[in-house]
Amino acid sequence: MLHLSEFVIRGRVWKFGDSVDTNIIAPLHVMRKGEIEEIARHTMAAVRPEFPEQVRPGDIIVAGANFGCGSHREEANLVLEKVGIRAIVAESVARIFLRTSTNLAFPTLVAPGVSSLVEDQEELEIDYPKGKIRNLRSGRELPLPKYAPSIEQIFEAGGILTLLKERCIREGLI
Amino acid sequence: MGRTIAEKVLSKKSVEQREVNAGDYVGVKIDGLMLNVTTSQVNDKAIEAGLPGGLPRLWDTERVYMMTEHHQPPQSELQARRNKIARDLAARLGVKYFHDAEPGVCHQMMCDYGYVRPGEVIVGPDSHCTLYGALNAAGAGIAEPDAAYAAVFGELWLRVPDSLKVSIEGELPNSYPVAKDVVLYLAGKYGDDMAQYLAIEYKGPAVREMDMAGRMCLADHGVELGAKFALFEADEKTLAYVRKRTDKSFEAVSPDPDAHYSREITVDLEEVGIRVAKPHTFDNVVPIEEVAGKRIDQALIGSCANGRLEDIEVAARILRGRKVAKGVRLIISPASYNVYLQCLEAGLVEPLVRSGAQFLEPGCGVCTARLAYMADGEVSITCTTRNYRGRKGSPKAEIYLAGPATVAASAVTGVITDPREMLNAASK
Repeated sequence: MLHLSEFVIRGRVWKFGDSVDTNIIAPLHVMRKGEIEEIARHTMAAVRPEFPEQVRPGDIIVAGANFGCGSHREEANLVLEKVGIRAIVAESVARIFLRTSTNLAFPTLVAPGVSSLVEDQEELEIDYPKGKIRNLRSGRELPLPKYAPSIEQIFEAGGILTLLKERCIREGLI
Repeated sequence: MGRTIAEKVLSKKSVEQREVNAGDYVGVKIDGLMLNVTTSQVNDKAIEAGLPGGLPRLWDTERVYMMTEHHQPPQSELQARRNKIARDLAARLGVKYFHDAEPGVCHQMMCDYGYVRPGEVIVGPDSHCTLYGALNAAGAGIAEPDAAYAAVFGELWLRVPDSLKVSIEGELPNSYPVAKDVVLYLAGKYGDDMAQYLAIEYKGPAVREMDMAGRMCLADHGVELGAKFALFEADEKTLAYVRKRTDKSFEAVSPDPDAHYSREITVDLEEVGIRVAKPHTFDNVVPIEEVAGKRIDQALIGSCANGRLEDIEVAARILRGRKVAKGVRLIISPASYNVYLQCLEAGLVEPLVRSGAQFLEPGCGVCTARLAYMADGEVSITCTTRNYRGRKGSPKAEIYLAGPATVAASAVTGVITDPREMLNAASK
């Protein structure tokens, strides 16, 4: 389980522009078979054909404004975790994508200025407890705004599905 | 200080029955849960959570609306399988409002059947739940894990949004629906994240004049501007629309006169004209003059954005006595079976088919990569919801977004065309 209070990572950056929509992340025409592995073979390929082949566990996505806009599509959240992305840091994130990340306890972070902090393939450090992100090559850093306390609690619980199960047990539904 | 519609609705529906303000996080009791194409996946989430067999119950069978819509009729074995799971679930959980063998767009069906009432909070696993704001309901898209929690407990966490007031002034054109041009104008001028995390409140003299179809188009597209809700006040048109469809009680919510808005924008319809979004983002918008003459292969009318009677009527008016250009596919998909029936009763379907239009069953296929695929280099103009790269198959296809009149006029000429001249000719 991910604990935000200990969430400090370093990873290679894949940098994207503004308005990367959920159909780029999880293209509908490959979702037909319903298999996340199939989506993983095509994720982000419409804008970065090499991404599905070259992405490695531990990598970080840095994006411009409105990341994850478009259709609600849980697969878009799931597939990036599946291919090994550890965190997303964007100028801004579309509301449903951000909400779903929270409910899945996957760190999608909003840090204005991040696009000019790092270049593609550079190393970024995310230090959630200290509230900082840092370009490891240049040493430059930016503040990383934290989630609201009630959102941090969803992360600490392990996501909404854990909360669902716990409440079902508490209320005698299972 | 006064409160916005969002603040008042979420205060009224807060689990703790407390007054909440923009920026607060609050547990909310929902009035409605829409379960659509992804119903089986919602149940899968409950299984993944460790609940044997999935959802153990629905918190209130009067408040859950289930439909197989997108996947009706099924276009693959997977879809058929998921529909079957939805059918079994509906029986097991005692779903009272279940639309199975009925194609359509879930949001239009929700309105058609009177499931959306003023002052309510309604969520569902689809981004265009913002449409319910046209009926003064706070509608927002969520995802399947959220929907599983909401289905069992009827509650959700929400952040109370700040509100953006958009006043629309000026005279509505009398010959064509202008809502799409308005929302494209807004996106072009202020960006596709202009309302990120915000509730939009649409107001002004032109909004009062606008029909429900136009308001639904604006509210639906709230999500394309990033909004959580896209709200209208309930007026006599709203009440007439809702009362015709339900005898359930409801309480409309108006903002206080001194409500605080984080931003206020005024749109003058004089300035809007006819707008087109070029590929591949919603805010890549230009006046029609800049793209007129661009060759097209496909023209689409339908979806929760512009698949209502008023949208198909203007297409029929433009195509009266004309033909679809040779080699162009004009494809029309009414937003629901009810809308389809309205079109049939109004005598719109036969002349459109004679002009060369193809009718698809009502539903979401016209708007996504389900039907009417495009190949590399093909160009489409559409009044559906989105023009993102690859939305209709090939990432090398181009999708232009415009209002239904522009789409119909372009289908006639085979190039992107300002519809106003044809509309003037049609009215003579």
